[in-house]
Amino acid sequence: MEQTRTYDRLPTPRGTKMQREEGPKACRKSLGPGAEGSSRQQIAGDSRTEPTKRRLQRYVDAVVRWARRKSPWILHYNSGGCNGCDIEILATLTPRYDVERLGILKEGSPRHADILLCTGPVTLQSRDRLRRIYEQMPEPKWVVSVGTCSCSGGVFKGAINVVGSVDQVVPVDMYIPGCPCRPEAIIDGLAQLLRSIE
Amino acid sequence: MNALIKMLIFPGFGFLFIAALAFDWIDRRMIARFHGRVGPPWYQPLADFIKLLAKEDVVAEGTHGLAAAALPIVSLTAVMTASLYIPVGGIVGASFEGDLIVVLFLLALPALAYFLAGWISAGVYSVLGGHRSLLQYFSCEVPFLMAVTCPAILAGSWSINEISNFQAQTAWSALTQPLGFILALIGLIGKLKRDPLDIPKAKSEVVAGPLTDFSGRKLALWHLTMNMQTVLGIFLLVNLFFGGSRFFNRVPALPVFGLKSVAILLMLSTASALYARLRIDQLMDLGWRILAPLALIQILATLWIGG
Repeated sequence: MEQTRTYDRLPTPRGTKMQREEGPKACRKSLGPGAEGSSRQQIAGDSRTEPTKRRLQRYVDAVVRWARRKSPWILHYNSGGCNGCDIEILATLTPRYDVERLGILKEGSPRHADILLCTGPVTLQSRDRLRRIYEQMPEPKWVVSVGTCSCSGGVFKGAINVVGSVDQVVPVDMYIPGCPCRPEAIIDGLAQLLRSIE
Repeated sequence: MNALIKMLIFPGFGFLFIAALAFDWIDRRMIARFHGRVGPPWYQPLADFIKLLAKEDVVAEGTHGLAAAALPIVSLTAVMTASLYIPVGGIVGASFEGDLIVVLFLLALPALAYFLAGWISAGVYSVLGGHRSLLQYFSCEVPFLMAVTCPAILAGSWSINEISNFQAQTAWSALTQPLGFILALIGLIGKLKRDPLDIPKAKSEVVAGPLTDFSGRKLALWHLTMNMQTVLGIFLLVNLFFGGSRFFNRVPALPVFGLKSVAILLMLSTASALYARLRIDQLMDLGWRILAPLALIQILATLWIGG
């Protein structure tokens, strides 16, 4: 029992992401403190080209951030809920709410998706699958937990076959409570998540 | 220098890129209107493209890494090379007797690359999608090629530009060969794997088909290839079936060409919004039992009238 609990509290992949960001891809994201230092060193050697390069980098960053905000592709996974929130998510995707206005598209493959919409509490069975789906998604990625069960475990909290909320398995960026939450709430949550991107 | 401009800017890459994004947007917007919704804003295809370029590029374990990197580039190259031989509103990038055959060959290369993309991937959905794409290719390409031959036979030339000019002196092939035009349109839908015939990438059956395991900039290149292929297929049909500008002599050729292309795009959007997806066996039946014999009849009729 002790062992399962430690497994549930594994260091979240967000930590690994921070390590990965130090690689060559980090330059595409915002300039971290490390990049700042290295560029300052280079200014001493070549003072003319470096500011141009940094300005260019800033523009590229701004364009990429804009693109990420405007084109969130979602993946939907039910980790053991009652299907209520899933029906609401599908209702969100119908023409009535027209989330394609925000650029939101539903993708089937984790490799294409940016945002993972999780519903339901995480059961012991689906824990590894949820973790695997999260790992399959390419960076940068965000997780939204939809519904009370996936936010806190809800009425299933403490059940023998349930791990608990989604944030015990993967890092969650946005919580949308409700049982089930309305499509308007889901759209609002996604819009707030997009506004908060970098 | 002139050749460089032609390759990079006007009938070449720059124009094709913008046209690909614009056509994608018109298509998505049109389908949204059919659904009774508003649809994405005009910058949506561009945002999707940039976002995919900036995303992490995952190569799944068991995938042939080099081939996965090469295939989207090969198919994009083939499509862009084909664009040089397709005249846009009377402006010719390059032309010689027989460039229609070269263009058809170059537009067939992405289909092979698409199948191989499924073949080298480790996922079952990719392999299944790849096999479906080959089956679909065999049943759609034959009627498409046969239908496309008819305007060439009538014009007595294998050069796209000359076929187009021939129609300026006589009449649109779409009027003289309506059957051939409809067959070519259906064949084009199958070639582009658009909605009624999107069997290889059916979301509810095989996730995303051969592209299931692709991410990041490889996926961006695949999407760009598909969009450019759509544009080129439409341009090809305009040149072959609505060539010249006989009925609009007062108007410059380029806007007329644009109008005709958008009209064909709207036909494709309508088809994808109105019709449900066929099963692969239904498509084989349609392709070999109905479309191919009809195309044969069209060829014989063309030979009888024009030959």
